[in-house]
Amino acid sequence: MVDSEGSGGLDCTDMSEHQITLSIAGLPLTLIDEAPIHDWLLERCHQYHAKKGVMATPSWTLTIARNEQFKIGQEQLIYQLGDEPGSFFIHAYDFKAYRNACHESITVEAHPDAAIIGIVRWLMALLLVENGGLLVHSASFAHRGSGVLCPGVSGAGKSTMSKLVREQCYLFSDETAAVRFLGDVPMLYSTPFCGELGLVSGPVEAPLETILLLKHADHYATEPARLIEAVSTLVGCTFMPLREGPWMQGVMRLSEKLARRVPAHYLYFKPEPEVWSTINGIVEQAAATA
Amino acid sequence: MELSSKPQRRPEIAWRVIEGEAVVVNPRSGSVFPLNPVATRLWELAEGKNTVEQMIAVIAEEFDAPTDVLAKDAQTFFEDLSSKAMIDVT
Repeated sequence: MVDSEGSGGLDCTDMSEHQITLSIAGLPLTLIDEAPIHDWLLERCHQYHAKKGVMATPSWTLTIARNEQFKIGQEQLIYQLGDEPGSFFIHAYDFKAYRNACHESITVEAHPDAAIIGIVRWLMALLLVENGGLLVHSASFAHRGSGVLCPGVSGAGKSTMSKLVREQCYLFSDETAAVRFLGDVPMLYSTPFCGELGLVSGPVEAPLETILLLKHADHYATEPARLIEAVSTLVGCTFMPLREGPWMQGVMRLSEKLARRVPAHYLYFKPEPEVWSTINGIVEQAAATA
Repeated sequence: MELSSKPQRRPEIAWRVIEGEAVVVNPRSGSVFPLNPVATRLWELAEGKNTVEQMIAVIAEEFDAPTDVLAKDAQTFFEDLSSKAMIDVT
């Protein structure tokens, strides 16, 4: 497990109260806001601040224009392709966005009260798929350099699992992880998007070698998951800013690629620390065969 | 669902067949449906050209299954998809 490129001595010299450049799963994103960026967002994301000189391409810019008159509550997502390749317009629940793919820029109009972290997460989910990755609702951690992803919807046990294993391993996130293929190797990345525990690690990455599908039970047990079950769970737990078209096909293709590459197991568990010995056995076996 | 009905998958729906079983995403809810092999064949055949009865005949041969059981399952399956706005029926 190593720090990813956004870490290792912060270089915040270009970070003003209106601008921050983040690097999540190796994808740089510059956020420019008309309003001052909240301290809590800076606090949450500062470790992901991209260092100058290590910026990968493409490097996207997200510009947020604030509009007091913006009406929140768009129920049905509106999605329209633009004339230029990769360009589109979206009207979501609490913001509108236009993407100009040629200029690697996205312009957002949002109410002053809109949650910026949600918009950033929406955008990262979109960009990741286009760059061979997924943003997954999951608990995630690394043990002896081996990455473990536990995808799950609300109530699946992500927070419970995170509480149980945090003393035993390096917890990446209790809520959201990024997975991205580097060549043929699936890598697991932490993200600044946390869940109810509020746990956010610094930017770290590890080869993803185990997928655990969580099942609450009154005992401890594991069994291999079928390919279709692993793919369905990954698709169902992936953030979906769009739910149709080529983008969604990309989610399915990447989920299948991931499930074929990384062994997936069901983990039946009680919310007790003893679960670690079961996990440890699976992880060590996966690492030995990786 | 009548046996003479012609179900058609809605074109915007994302789906993928993996080793004979489909994963289908409902774009309205974001729900993901893994389909068993028989349901997958029904889904594949739901192109708006085939009646439910014709599909049942194809699948009965492919899976060596009784048509009366297949008919009931197929009608229930398509009624469920129709209620979720995942197919059009003519």
